[in-house]
Amino acid sequence: MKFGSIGAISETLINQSLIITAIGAGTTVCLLITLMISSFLMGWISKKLISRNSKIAQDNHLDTSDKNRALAAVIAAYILKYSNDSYDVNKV
Amino acid sequence: MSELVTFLNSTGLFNIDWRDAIMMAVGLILVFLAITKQWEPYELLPIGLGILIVNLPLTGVAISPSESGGTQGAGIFGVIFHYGLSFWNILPPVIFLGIGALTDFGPLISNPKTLLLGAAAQVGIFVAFWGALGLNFFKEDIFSLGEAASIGIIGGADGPTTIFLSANLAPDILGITAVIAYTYMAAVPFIQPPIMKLLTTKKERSIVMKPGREVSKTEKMIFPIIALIIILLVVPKAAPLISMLVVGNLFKESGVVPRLTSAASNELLNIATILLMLTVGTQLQADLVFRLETVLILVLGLVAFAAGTTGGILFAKFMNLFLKDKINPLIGSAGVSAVPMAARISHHMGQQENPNNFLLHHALGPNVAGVIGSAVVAGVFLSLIG
Repeated sequence: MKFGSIGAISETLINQSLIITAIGAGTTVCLLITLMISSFLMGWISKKLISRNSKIAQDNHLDTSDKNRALAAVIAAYILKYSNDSYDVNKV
Repeated sequence: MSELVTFLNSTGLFNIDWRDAIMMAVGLILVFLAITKQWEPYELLPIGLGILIVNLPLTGVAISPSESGGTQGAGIFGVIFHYGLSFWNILPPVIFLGIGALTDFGPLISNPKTLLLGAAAQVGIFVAFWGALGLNFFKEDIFSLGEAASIGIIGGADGPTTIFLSANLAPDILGITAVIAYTYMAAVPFIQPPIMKLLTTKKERSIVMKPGREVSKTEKMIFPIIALIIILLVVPKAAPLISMLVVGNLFKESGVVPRLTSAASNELLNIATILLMLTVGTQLQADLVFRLETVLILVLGLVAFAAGTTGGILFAKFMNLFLKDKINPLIGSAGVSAVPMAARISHHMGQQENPNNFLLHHALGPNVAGVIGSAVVAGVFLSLIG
């Protein structure tokens, strides 16, 4: 086995390895941070959409209730009007 | 009489070497561990059988078409190795397709911070990379830059990525790096727990994490597409792995192609696993193994795994300095891919301290991030060294 001195690793190799390490580690960390930010944004948008959708659904629900109430009032008034007519003592 | 002598000389019995016998024993030990202990049986059983077959003398099963001078002279595993790995390198991406069809990005999307743990655990790759290069200090030209990168990627604890990179940068040590990667992945339950206990306090191991938010199906479909575009715009060389992972995952998450999902995660994955693992095993021939380099790769692989585990845990502890909702540092160790074994170890370690602590879902986040991280590092190595 031939053991070398410190010169066994060339300066070029060390420099190249340093660059590879810096680019490799840097790229990986940056890409994963970008994905993390994308995920946070996606979650934020998703939450907003969910709350907006639920609000719209709630509004729609309120609209429907109002309509139902109005319809009920009209029907009640209509019934009352005709029921009054049917019990109008003058007409009897 | 001369025919009898010729026949006897052509038998394996007259040509067996002590190194062949040792390697056959190694193959049988892997087979034994896979069957009796169920250590990564899908990998170690075919690898062990491959080692056993190739070290039986004169079978010629591993002769590649380029060595034989013609396809008919090549051995079956030589042909698979040539076309599946060294020439076309299609088997690791096919395995990634299957892994994609089995992967759930939900835990990662629900707790995106865990992506940082996946990044931190990649430190093992660079520690082993520098360790391999540093050995040139003691013995001249023992490992080239490509070989150092292939050894380093063992720290990613991802078999297909190790094979993919080694086949490209250092085909001579492909069999050794692959077997060491899978062996250490199988040994994760023994390698990681002592390091995890050493680096964490009982109080830290008992931290109960808040359950993650519910992730919609739309998010599960958008995330891999975003990841695909962002990663491949920066590291196009990672395309064979990342694109197949995403394709498989979208098959699953879209829900519109159940037959393709099933084919990718069952038939295709199983076929690729059989071919890949048997072939990897057949690369462990005695004359390649009984070298100083192999022993050094074995040590460097272990260092890489330990460093990756340490990196993940320490970074989780560092994150806790700033977080209101603390994370259990045990999930940091799952950043070294080894899906899903590393995540299970985090979960079990957590339950040892607090039986009501369920860390599995949380640990799957860094686990999947580790797969992406190691594929990115492999892509960068290929871009700069390949």
